[in-house]
Parts: sequence; structure tokens; C-alpha cells
Amino acid sequence: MKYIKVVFALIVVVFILESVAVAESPDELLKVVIDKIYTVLKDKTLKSTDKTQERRKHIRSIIESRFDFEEMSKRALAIYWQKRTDAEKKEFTSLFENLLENVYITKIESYSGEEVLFVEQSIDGDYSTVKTVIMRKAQKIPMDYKLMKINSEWKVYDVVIEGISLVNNYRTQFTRILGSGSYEGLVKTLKEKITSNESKTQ
Amino acid sequence: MKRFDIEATVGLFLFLGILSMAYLSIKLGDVHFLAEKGYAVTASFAKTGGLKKGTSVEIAGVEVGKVSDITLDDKTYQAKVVMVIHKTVNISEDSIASVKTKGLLGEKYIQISPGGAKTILADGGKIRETESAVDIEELISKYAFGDVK
Repeated sequence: MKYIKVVFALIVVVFILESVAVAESPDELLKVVIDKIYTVLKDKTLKSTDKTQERRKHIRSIIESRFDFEEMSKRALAIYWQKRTDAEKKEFTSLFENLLENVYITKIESYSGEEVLFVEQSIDGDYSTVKTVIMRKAQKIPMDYKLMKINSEWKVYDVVIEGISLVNNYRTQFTRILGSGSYEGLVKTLKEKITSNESKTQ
Repeated sequence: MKRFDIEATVGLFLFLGILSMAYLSIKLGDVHFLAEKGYAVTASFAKTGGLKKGTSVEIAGVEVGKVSDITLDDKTYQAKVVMVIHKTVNISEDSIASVKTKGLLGEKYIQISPGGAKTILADGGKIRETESAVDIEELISKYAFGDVK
């Protein structure tokens, strides 16, 4: 009987240790994302131009796994978010996600394995900032990722490039548009922007 | 009796003069005898770019508070800015504080873009999202001369 107890205790200890090892730190999680994207970009079977859509689908799913676009939309719409119905929130999130992906996908595709230095990470409760620097040939681009724990998982909710926050950039624009126009107008503008971007990046 | 009246009037005017002088120097010198009305919130910046105590904190160009203290955090080497915000102004937890410049080369001030979170910052709260002062010189040198390989 005693032995069983000891064995049971050991099993519990092993489980606890394992769960600690699984809970990765934000910077390691980001490294995984960047590595995954780079593998997709390097993948020779996805390189040809007729595979563009497939390649982008892969990249999108990688980004979606670590970025929380609902939190981003919420922060970008700021005071106007609470006034929206659930359906509108959903629609806006997918529009905003589309817009961001269209804007940044070509930039991501131009990534050719430049070194990404992880400078430091700070964790403050459920929030974390990971500071990175992209080492381009001629310039260093500082890029900070802001993460927060959503359902006990680290998710990116803002990206700060050269000290400029992505969320704040869109928040200022959205507040300006919504201050003088309607929400429907903003949705229309976003849709137009997405279609015009899509035709450009094809 | 008449003489006394004149003296009293002169004295009264002198007294009024001193009072106005005192009022003027307090007003113009921005001296605060009592603690400022409002609540304090903090924010950390990587770079404040010459932000000074007493500069205004603005939302949409309207002053909603003042910078009351700037210190250096000796662990992270970041600037910790304490702002006193008017009691009537609510600041949600996901607001963003940015160090901005008035005009192209003007003085620095803090601008808050209000967020939409339901949690409102209380006294001693922290604005987590910040944007540091953008160093124009640095940016110009980076993108104008950055192509030297």
C-alpha cells in the first residue's frame, strides 16, 4: 500500500514538472511563429506564383494561431466597440483581420530569413512585451510585440514598430472616421480598401 | 476723524494691492498649495524626449491633467511618468499614452487615446500601452542614410 502511494506521488510530481515545461514563455512562442512562417516561405513546393493563394493560406493560419484579432479590433475601435452588436463585432474583426493581412502579407513575403534578434521580454502579470530587432542589410528595425494571456494562452494584441503602435494608428483613424461619419460608412470604406488591396497584391 | 479716513483708505488699497500681487504670482508661477485635484496614473516610456514636469496631458487636444513627476526606473532604465488626471475624466485600462510634439519642433506633451475597455483606471493605476517620443533626427538618419552598405 505504501509503495502505491509513493508511485502515485511520483506520477503527480512528473505531471507537474511537465506542465511547467509546457507553459512556454512569450518570446519562445514568437520564435516558433517566425520559424514556421520562414519554413513556409522557403518551401519550394509553394514557391511558384500559382501557389500564392495556398502559401498565403498557410501563413494566415500560422499568424491566426498567435495573434488575437478580436482583441486588436476591440482596442482599435476603442469607445465604439461597446456600442456594436455581437454580429457587427464579428464582422468587423474579420474585416480588420483581412485588412491587416492584405497590408502586411507582401511585407511578410519579402522576409528572407533576416536575423530577428530577441532583445528582451518583460512579463507583468497577464501582460508581456517582447522586444525584437529585425536586422535588415542596411537598417535595424525595432519591433515590439505586446502579448496578453487570453484563456491562459499568450496572444499578440499589438505590434509596435519604430515606437509606433499599430493599434493606436488604426484607433486614431477609426475615431476620426466614426467621429464624423457612421459605422456603416467605416465598414464600407474598409471593404473597399480590402478589395483594392487584394487586386494590387495579386 | 477725516485724517483717519484717508489713512484707512490708503491702507485698504495697499492691502488690496498686496493681495492682487500674491494672487498674480501664485497664478503665473503655477504654485499649488494644495495637492492637485484628481487621481494619479503612471506610465512607462522608453524615451520621453525632454518631457517636463507640469506639461499637459491631453485627450483630443483638451487638457485633462498634468505631468506631476518623472523618474527613472533603475531596474528597467525606463522613464516612469506620473500624471494627475482630473476627477471628471475616466481613463479606460486599454488607453494609449503617447509622447507627442507640438508642431514639428515644439514642446513635448502627453496625448492619451482613450480605449474601449470597461475597466476604468483608479488612483495609482497604470497605463500599460505607451508610445515613446519619436526621435525625428534618428528616423531621418535611418531612412535617408540607411542605404550605405
